[in-house]
Amino acid sequence: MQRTVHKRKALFAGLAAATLILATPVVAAAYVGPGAGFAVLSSFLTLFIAFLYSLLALVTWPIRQLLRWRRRRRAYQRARVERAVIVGFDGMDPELATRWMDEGKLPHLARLRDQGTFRKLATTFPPISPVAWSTFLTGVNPGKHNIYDFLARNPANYLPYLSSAQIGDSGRRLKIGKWSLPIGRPKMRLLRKSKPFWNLLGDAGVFSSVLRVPITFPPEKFQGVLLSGMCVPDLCGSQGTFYFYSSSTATNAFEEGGVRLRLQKNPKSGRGFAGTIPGPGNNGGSETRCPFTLEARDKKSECVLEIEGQRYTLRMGEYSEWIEVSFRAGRGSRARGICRFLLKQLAPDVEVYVTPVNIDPRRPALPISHPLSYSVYLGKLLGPYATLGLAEDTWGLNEGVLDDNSFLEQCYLIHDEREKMFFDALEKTARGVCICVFDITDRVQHMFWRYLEKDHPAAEATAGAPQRRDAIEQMYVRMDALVGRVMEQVDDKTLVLVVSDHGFQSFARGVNLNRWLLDNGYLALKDGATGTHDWFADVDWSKTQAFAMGLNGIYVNQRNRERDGIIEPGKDTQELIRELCAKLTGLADPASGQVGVTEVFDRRNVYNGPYVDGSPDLVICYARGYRAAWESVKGQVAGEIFSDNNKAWSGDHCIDPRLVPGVLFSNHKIEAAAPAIVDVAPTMLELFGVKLPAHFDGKAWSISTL
Amino acid sequence: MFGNRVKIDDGLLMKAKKCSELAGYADVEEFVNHVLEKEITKILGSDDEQQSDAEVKKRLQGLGYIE
Amino acid sequence: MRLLISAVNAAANGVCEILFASLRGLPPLVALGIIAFLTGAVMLLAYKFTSNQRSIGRAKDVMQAHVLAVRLFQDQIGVVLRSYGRILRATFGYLRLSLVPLLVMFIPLTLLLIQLEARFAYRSPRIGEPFLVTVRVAQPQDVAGVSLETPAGLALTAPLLRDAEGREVVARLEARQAGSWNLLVRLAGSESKKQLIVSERLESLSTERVSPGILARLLNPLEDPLPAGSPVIAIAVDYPERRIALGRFNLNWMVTFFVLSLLAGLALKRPLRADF
Repeated sequence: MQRTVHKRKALFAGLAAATLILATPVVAAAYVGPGAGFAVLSSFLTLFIAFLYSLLALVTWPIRQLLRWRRRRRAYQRARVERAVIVGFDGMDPELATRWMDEGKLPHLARLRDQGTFRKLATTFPPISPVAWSTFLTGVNPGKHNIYDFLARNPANYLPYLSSAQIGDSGRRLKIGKWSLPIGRPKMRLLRKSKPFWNLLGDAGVFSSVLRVPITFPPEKFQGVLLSGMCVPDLCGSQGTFYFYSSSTATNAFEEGGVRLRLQKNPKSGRGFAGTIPGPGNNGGSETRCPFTLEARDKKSECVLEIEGQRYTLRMGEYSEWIEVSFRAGRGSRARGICRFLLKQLAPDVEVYVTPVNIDPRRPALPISHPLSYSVYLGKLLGPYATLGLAEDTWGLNEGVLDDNSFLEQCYLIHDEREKMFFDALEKTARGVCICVFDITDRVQHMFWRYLEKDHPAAEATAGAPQRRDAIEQMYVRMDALVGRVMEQVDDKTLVLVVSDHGFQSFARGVNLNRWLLDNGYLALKDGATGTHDWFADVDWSKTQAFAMGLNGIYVNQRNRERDGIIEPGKDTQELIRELCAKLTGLADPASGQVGVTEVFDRRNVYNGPYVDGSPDLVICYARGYRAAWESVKGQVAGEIFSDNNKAWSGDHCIDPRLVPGVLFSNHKIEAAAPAIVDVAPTMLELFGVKLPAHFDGKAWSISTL
Repeated sequence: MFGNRVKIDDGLLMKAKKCSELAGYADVEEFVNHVLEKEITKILGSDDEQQSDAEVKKRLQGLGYIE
Repeated sequence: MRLLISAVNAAANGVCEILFASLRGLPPLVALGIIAFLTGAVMLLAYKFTSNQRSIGRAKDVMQAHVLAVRLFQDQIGVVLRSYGRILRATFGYLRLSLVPLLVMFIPLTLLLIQLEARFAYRSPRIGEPFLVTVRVAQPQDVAGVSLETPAGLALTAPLLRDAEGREVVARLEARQAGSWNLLVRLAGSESKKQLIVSERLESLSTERVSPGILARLLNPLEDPLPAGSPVIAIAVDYPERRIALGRFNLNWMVTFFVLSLLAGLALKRPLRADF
């Protein structure tokens, strides 16, 4: 017994001395109690979990391998490549690329052109990202994937909805007395139909890493990893609502895209200001809020932001890091988001811009990846990142809350995150397919096209702000450098495709088709209505034959289909469609005499498939420089048929698809008479030796050097 | 866990497969879902949420292409 | 140095006496639980303020990311192997970041654990319960000269057992009366005292009175060391070991303390906004 006492003390002393001498945290942790325990707990847990995974993997390995072996052997045995890498640049334009390649500014793309392939890539009717990328990933025309625009119309109420995804609560509620609590996860439905080619590859055992391809939200299950892109909502469920805080008493609201909020004197400290970030609606439907305070520092260009118990220094004109915010979503649960702050001004009034609140990828309120842990993995590895579908705040620039510089800085902050994700996916995908779509190409061209043209109406309207005339060119140079880095990571056995879903053109003049329909007797307003209200609130449906909604569509107000339809289906409808096609094709702009509408198509001539019923009855193709007017897109009737576009959003592509093809670059020679975006999916399947399904519309390209 | 299962006559399934190919569906599952959705809408009406103008505007807010 | 250690011991004894004053009558598990909770909270705050919380959070994230990579890319064997390597590297990086707070916490925690050991590792003998006292001497020939004088509350129940080879004299005693008693050890004209406590409550028990020495004094703070040059080099009391009763289990105090303080740390992690 006596020995035990001595032994214990000797051990005690020995350990203490050893720890001090060696300063080894592991030893300390074994003894020194909770502090060290904290230190070791995390690392130990990590190692333990990793070990557990390995053990599980080891035990189940023979069975899994046996099952996969049969599938994979076939898949990779027939494959002509080990790996295919697709770099998607949304909206990269072949004409601009050619111009800058010829000027020697895009050496890596020029090398692909000279040693491999550079072709124009035919796009879809209409050439809009959700439509074209859906065709890219399914290999079918829109009649088979059901995406015709960002918007679709509900014939039951003439209102639009997001064409790609539907999100609602689970519909299940637990009633306790007067309380009614929602239970279960939100009900989400992907409205895009058909099957992505990576699902078909996965069925054959080929692994894919898919990053930010549009219209992949909510994510579908397949063999691989996927991070959703375009149309992922912000935490409030919108497509991106920014906040602009000011201590000024001015109350003018933004037309679109943002919310102006007042900074109040901080009631607690009496110094500085207090504000709240609006969050998603809670159980009762009321909006949740996340409060914050701002206090100016002695320096005239800094202030301290306090939010969620953390303090951050905001510097004038600099974006903050991603800041975590949370909103009480119900009893015991919180919806977590991230946003950046931008201090714009401290005097005479304090002005702060806050980006839309993105879903926090590390604790996603909605699944934004497959598997769910993939977004978490990326968030933990690379830090928080923008998850919003259309993350670059174009409305912030349109509304003048952001200037050219701060908009561009935001774009590149987001782009840098995506580059890191992409290169991680590239490293992780040694075999199979790795795809990433970069959005910056689209956003920068939309917002800075005004500087490519001498007399663009928007250039004059935004002349006061700092100007970045070279923004588009510089962006192409950056994308070229990205391609260069990709080429350093791949060998000849890897097929690299650089594709875009469409090109770009000027958007100088808007065409209000609803006004044209009104003037030509196809649409009628209620008595005394002005036509200035959104979503056809002023329209008299009992006298309306057709209406325009969205970017390229006209719908017939058809009986038994639209709620108050008046045109009989069949002959009457077809007659009306023919009449409208004839009258609208070649519609000229009275200001210049130029043709604004090149052609109008009966949907039956451009779409086929089981979902054609959901498409617009007529597909409008605009000429270069024209697009649907802002008012027309959202169901307003008032205004001129043709009008100037004065917004910073000055370039567009929602026109005649034949005028805005995308690009196709490759490191291998591609033989195809007229390559189109619909061919990418069959080409991928063919490359990996997977039989092409009968429903595909595209044709696999011949890649001669593989 | 294993999804929902409905028994379909073998002959009907063969026909459904043929129809799905002819109509341009990716697989018979997509075909069956679409047919059922259409039939259910005919009988029960659309289950789309009746949204207010404000709700529509909020959901589409920030979509750069529309004002 | 001697003065410094005396001061440290005096401070530690003083603080702990105040801390334990109100806990003395409580069941040991409850008292240990309260101490563990307070220790967990204080250590968590110390960890928070002495570590780079941002870097620790980041290092943890990276570790977790590589663990997730093992699962996500399990078909890509190269990725899995690389991820294991990165997990190890990230773990060492994380431990490196924990080094500073660990060093800061080391001294106060060591002192606390010494104090806790005196209170929770052993219990006082009950009335009538026998126990041993061992006197260690410097020279084997001194063993024969050792004699003991017991105070009123203690009684020798057997002749002294003299082990010249082991330089030890073992006495078998029995507690007769509650109280704090001094056992007197005589040897060659010198007298050495050893405190002995008989009590039903949580008491601070000095298990051994030792010769002067930095480490020995730090580990035995409750009693002054024996005089330098004394022929007696240690007097140890073999107090019965205390087990912490938890339902059907009898737990070691240190394990219990470690687990409880960790649980407290975990529970307080969010309220105190500390990451570890």
